[in-house]
Amino acid sequence: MEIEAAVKRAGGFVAMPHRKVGNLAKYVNIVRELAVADFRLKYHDSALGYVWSMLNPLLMFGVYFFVFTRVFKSTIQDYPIFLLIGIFNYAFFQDCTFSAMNSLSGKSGLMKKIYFPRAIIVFASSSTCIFSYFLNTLVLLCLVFFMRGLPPLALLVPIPIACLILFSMGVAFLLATLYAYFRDMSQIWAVLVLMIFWVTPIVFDVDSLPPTVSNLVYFNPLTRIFGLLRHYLLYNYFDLRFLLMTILYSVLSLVVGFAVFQRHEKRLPELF
Amino acid sequence: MIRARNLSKVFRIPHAKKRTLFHNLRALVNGGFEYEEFYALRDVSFCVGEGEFVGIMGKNGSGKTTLLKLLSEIYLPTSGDMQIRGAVYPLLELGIGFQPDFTVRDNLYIYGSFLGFSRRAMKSKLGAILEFAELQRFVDARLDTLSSGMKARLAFAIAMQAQASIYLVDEVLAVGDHWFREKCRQEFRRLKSERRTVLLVSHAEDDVLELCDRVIVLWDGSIASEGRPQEMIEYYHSLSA
Repeated sequence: MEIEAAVKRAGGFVAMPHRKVGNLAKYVNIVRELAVADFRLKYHDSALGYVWSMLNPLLMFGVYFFVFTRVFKSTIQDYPIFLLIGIFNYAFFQDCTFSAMNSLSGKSGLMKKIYFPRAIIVFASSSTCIFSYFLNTLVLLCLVFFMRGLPPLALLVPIPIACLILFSMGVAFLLATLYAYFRDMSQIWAVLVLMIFWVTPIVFDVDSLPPTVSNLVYFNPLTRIFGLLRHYLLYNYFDLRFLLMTILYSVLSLVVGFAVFQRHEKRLPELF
Repeated sequence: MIRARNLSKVFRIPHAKKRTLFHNLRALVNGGFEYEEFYALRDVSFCVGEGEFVGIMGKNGSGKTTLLKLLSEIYLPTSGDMQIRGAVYPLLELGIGFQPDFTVRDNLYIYGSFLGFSRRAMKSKLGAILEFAELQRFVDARLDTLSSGMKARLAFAIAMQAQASIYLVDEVLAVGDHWFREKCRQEFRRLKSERRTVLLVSHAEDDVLELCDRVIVLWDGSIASEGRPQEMIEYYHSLSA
């Protein structure tokens, strides 16, 4: 059963004109309305709601810090900051991918009633996560500042942050598409996210591994992004080639993820 | 202008409750899925001219909503093609995207964004919408404190702000009390006098008689007949008898 339909259209939508570039402003408007609504629902319109969301990475930090300084003696310098950077940023990756995967089914009623580019839903859910990620990053920067002071290269930290956002959204688009076809994707991803945690240098240092293993770990784009974050926040170290490769990986991830999503966009409402 | 030629829509209904990766892997071994093919629409062809007001009748499951969803590009047709000239505005449900926890004002902005209106544009329409919905006093009330009739009024007032040339309307007249329905009918009279193209799915025969120029009767996903409202209503009755 092949799809052989040709949808021809002249003019376009006035209410929902999705064929023209000039509609970008309208789409951005929908993303903003959805993201703000999501954010308010998530944190119940309260500052305390946000504090609760901070508690999770902080608690994780406490546990890993205890285990890796008291049980296994880590030899990494400035281990608390090293660990904080890893955990706070991994929390975003996890949050962004999970909420994007579930975003389509949460908005299935909307999808079945009106046409708009379905990517808007994923963008909106990511925006909500990005907003809390920014707040968390401010907290992280304050912590690093008081614990050790920020080096001059900390000014470059928006670049790896942008890379992490691009990469996470690429994965998010891919997962959102997969979830439309396979409902057990959320269970599968829950396991994978845990595995990725341990093949990403969050609690350990990639350069202390034997070269054969570390080369493998470097295949993971998160390794590079976390490397950059630590270069700029902790070691005050700059490597242009490393930076460009990381940007390339991140942009590529979003392009591939988005392209896959767009290929299946028109079929999504039927799948929910 | 809408022109549809041999439109069909097939839904595959899998026997399994949920589509999972596990299920797909098993299907790979067993040689394919088990599913039912269901023709929601079969070879539907019709034309709607500029400024025409066309009613669609048919019992539940005859494909009325599926047809509107194909024309609104919510679903992809399985086969056939369609041509649409003009801006399409699907009104399949009132109050899409409404958040019960938010105030009436917030919901205006959310719903408005789906109609393509910015916050600023909605602010300037706020007064007119609230007046139409007769909810001026409740602009800062939470939406879930409103009665369902009030919500319907609000949603309809917002929905009617859209400016399009083709309206696809799915039984919105059915909700609300007598007073609300009269108000809706007035809005449809306005659309008709403005020579907008309207496709109206309705079970209310008095509305169909008053508003429609022509009626299409759907039966099991195919067009059973089309013609003048009075004749089609009689025909529809003879079918169900």
